[in-house]
Parts: sequence; C-alpha cells; structure tokens
Amino acid sequence: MSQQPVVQLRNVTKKIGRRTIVDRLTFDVPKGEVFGFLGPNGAGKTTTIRMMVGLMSMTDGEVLISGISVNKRFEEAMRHVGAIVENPELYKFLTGYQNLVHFARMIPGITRERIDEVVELVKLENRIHDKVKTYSLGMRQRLGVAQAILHRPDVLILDEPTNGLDPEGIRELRDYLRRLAKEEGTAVIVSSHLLSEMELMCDRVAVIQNGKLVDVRAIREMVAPSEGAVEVAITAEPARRAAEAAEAAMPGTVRNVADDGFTVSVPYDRIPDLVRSLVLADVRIYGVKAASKSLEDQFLELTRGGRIV
Amino acid sequence: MVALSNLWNLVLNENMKIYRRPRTWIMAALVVIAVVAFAVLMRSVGPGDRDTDALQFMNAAAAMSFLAFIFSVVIAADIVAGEFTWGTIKLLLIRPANRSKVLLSKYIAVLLFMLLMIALLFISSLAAGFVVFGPPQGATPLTLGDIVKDYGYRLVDVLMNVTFAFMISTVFRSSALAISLAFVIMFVSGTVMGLLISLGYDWAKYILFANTNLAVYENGGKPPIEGMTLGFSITMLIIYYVVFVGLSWYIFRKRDVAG
Repeated sequence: MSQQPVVQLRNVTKKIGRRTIVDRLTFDVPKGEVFGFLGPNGAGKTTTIRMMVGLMSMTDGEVLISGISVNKRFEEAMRHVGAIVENPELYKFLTGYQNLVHFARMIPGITRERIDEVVELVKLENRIHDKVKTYSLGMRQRLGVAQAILHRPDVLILDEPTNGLDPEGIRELRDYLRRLAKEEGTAVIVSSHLLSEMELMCDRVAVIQNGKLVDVRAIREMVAPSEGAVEVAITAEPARRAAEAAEAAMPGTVRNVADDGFTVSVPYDRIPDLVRSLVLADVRIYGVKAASKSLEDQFLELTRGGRIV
Repeated sequence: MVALSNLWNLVLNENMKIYRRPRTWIMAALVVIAVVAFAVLMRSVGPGDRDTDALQFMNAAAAMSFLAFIFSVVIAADIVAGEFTWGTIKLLLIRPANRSKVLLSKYIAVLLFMLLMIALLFISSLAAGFVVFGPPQGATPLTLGDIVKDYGYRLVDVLMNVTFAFMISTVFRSSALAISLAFVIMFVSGTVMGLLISLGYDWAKYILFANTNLAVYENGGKPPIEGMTLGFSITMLIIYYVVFVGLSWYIFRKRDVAG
C-alpha cells in the first residue's frame, strides 16, 4: 500500500489581472519530510503558501491536505494544517496563554492539558502568562510555533520562519522542526530565500522562479554532486611535499600550491583516495575542505537559466 | 449543535479581544462618569425647580446615548480592520472555521457590546436618578415605558451606524482609516442632510441618515422631508441594512489576504 502524500499541489495557478503570479505548480510532500520552498523574493513563494492555507483563492488547480481539498472542504482540511504565515503576529494585548486559548477554541477537541503540553514543548512556561507585547522576537516565534502545533497537524507550514531571528533562535527552530518531522512524522514546509538555511533544515527543496517550478531536488544530491569535479582545498605541511604526493596519485589535478597548502580538482568520490595518498606520504594534514559547488552557485545556475529579461 | 458551539467559541474569542483591552473599560467608565457628572450638574446648577425626579433625569440623560453610539462605532470599525492592522488575520483565517462564521462572530460581538453600552447607560442613569433626585413623584406624565421607547428609537439609530461602521471595517484594512472614515461620514452626514433638505432636494429622503431617526413619526410628527412615512423609512433602513451586511459578507469572503 503506497502512502498518500500529506500535501499535494496540482496545477496550482494564481493570476492577478493578466499577470500570472504562480504558474501550474505541482508537487507532493510526504509524511515526515522537511520540504524547502526556495526562490528569490517575488518568485511566488508566499502567494503559493497563502493559497495552500486558504488565505488566497486559486485561479486554477487544487491543493489536497491529507487527501482533503482545501478549495472544497476548507474546514476539514484546515484541521490538519498548522501554519505561520510570515511573522507570527499574535494579539499583543493578550497573554501568551490567552493567545493559545483563543486559537484552541477555534479547533474542536483541544484540551487544557494539550495547551500546557505545547507551552512546555516550546519552553515558554515561565512567561506564558505575560502579555505578548513584552516578548522578544524569539519568544513570539516560539509562541507562533505553539499555536501552529496545538492540534498536532499533519503538515506544518512556515513562511520565512527565520526572518528576524537571531542565530540562536534559528538554530533552536531548525532543531525543533527536524525533530517534529522525525518523531511525529509531521510534514514540514518551509519557505525561504536563504540557501544556507535550507541546506541545514530541509530534506528536499523546490526551487521556484517567476511562479514556475524550476526543479525539485534532494539536498543530499545538491551537496554531493554525482558528476564533475569538485575543488578540494588541502591545508598541509610541508605543502610542497604534500602537493607532490597528490600529483603522483592523481596527475594533473593539483593547482595553486602555496606555503600552507594547495587545491585539487577531483571527482567527489575520489576524495578519500586523495586523503589516503597524503597520509601515506607522511605529511601533516590540517584541513581537507571539499568546496563542492555550493548550493548557492547551483541555485543561481538554476534560476538564471530560466530568466528572460 | 456542533456548529453552534463552534460559533459560540468564536464569539467568546471576539469578546476576549474586546474586553481584555483597557480602552474598552475606559469607554464603559466614561459612560458611567458622564451620567453621574450630568446628574450632579443638573442638581447643582440646573433649573431650580425641585420637581425633577428620577424619570425626568433618565429622560434627559438618554441624550448621553451619543457616547454609547461613538464607542460602539469605534469597536465596530476596529473589529475586522484591527485584525488586518495587527496581521493576526492570517492566523485567524487558517482555522477550521470558515470566513462567514468568523465574520458573524465578530458582528455578534459588536452587537453585544452595543447592547452592553446602552444597558450601562440605562442602568447608571436609573441609579443616578434615584440617588440624586429621588423616586418619581408623579409630577410628570412621563413613564418608564416612554423612556424605554426612546431608547428603542436610539437603538435603531445606533444599530444602523454600527452596521455601517462594520462594513467600513471589512472594506478598509486599516483600523485607523476605518474608524476615522466612519466618524467623518457620520458627523458630516448631519450637516449635509440639513443642507440638502434646506435646498429642497427630494431625493435626499433616500439617504440613510434621513431615515435613522424613527422618533419623528411619533404622535403624527413631521418627517424631515415631506412625503416620508414610517413605512418608507423602515423599508429604507431594511434595504440599507441588507446592503451593508451583504457587502461585508461578500467582501470578507472573497478577499485575498495579502501583504
């Protein structure tokens, strides 16, 4: 029995006037996956997310959440969705707890115990009865996550979740999302224009540009390219002897020999062989860094290709 | 039943958002303070006759309903636009409650607030009247029924304006704009109506504000424009009401929440 994807987009299209903002997007997100939604500003990420949660109407196409159409059975579909669209904007004149009660009342079957459990989960026990206006951005973000997971949704959708967060907060959020996906099997959809973040957070990314899906790739594939050579920066002492050893093992690959090291251009799967030859040459190795074509370069490559100015 | 408890939960939410804000309590306090101050003032510098009793005071204090009017309009103009201003609309509309229910709950909360303000005025003027002026001595033909009727007329006026402000609130996404626009239209309308009537424009009778005061028809009174009847005004009010409510619903249901 094949498992049904939690989120399915089918030809989702948004037109405003004669402009097409989102153009026939189709992709699936399975259970337990952290799915990144990547694209430059104005590519249609936010619009797509807003259509997925019913904040915007679709011109064409369909979004299914756990098999339920958002267009046709909105209330049922929304029981399985938790989301923060852009910054978590909560009622500042209410306490954190009152905010959670507010959103809990809108979903059938959420107990006081569940609210307390969620508060503990996002580590807000000490401040939950303070007014939200006294919260830091990181705390608001955590409260935002709390309201989104109150009903144990099948999918958690976050639009630019790290906007304005400090590194500590970003790290916390990232760890939490990964855990949620792994332990509870929640599908997580995250949009961002920051590549480095996506690299750390996601299993797969969809790259969109000008409202069109350019590519969907697993992060692993992007970080470890299967073909072509990668630049490997070696820091070793003595550099000259190390370079000679590398040249002997893989002729014609060594470049830029300097006092403290050199670079080698080899296929990704030959890197271990290269390291072995250096070890055998008895040089002191301080660093081996595979400067694989960065996600950023690949991203620019992907998006530039499709650009018609 | 499920749908009803669902809706009631939404009304509870809206009430929480109204009554957990200090400004709401300031408004309520102002109504009471205004009534008490009016009573004290009327007692100390008013016409020296000792015949003023509680009912006469209540009758006079009913004019304070303009406060209930203003505050209800503020709440109505803010209740939808505020969510857009705060950005909370994005969290509100992604729940298992469709937009019609959310809007209905807001409208109900506004009406409850309006009734609360009117009731507060009624009760505080009744209490202040009895305390400051003493119980009615039958010096005037005025009865409590007359006062309730007067409140009824005022309620119709407030209801129409509140519903109008509510519509403005759904159309404009900024609460500051919604509140000021609602007030500008309401205050300018009196002057404009007076002007149109004095210039003898017959079509002015189709304007909402020519019809909101149904008290003019009582005891064969004279309507603002010749030829207007109670039936005509009630029909106009119903038409306006349906248009305001219909427009609010239509816009709120269709609107794309962006930005």
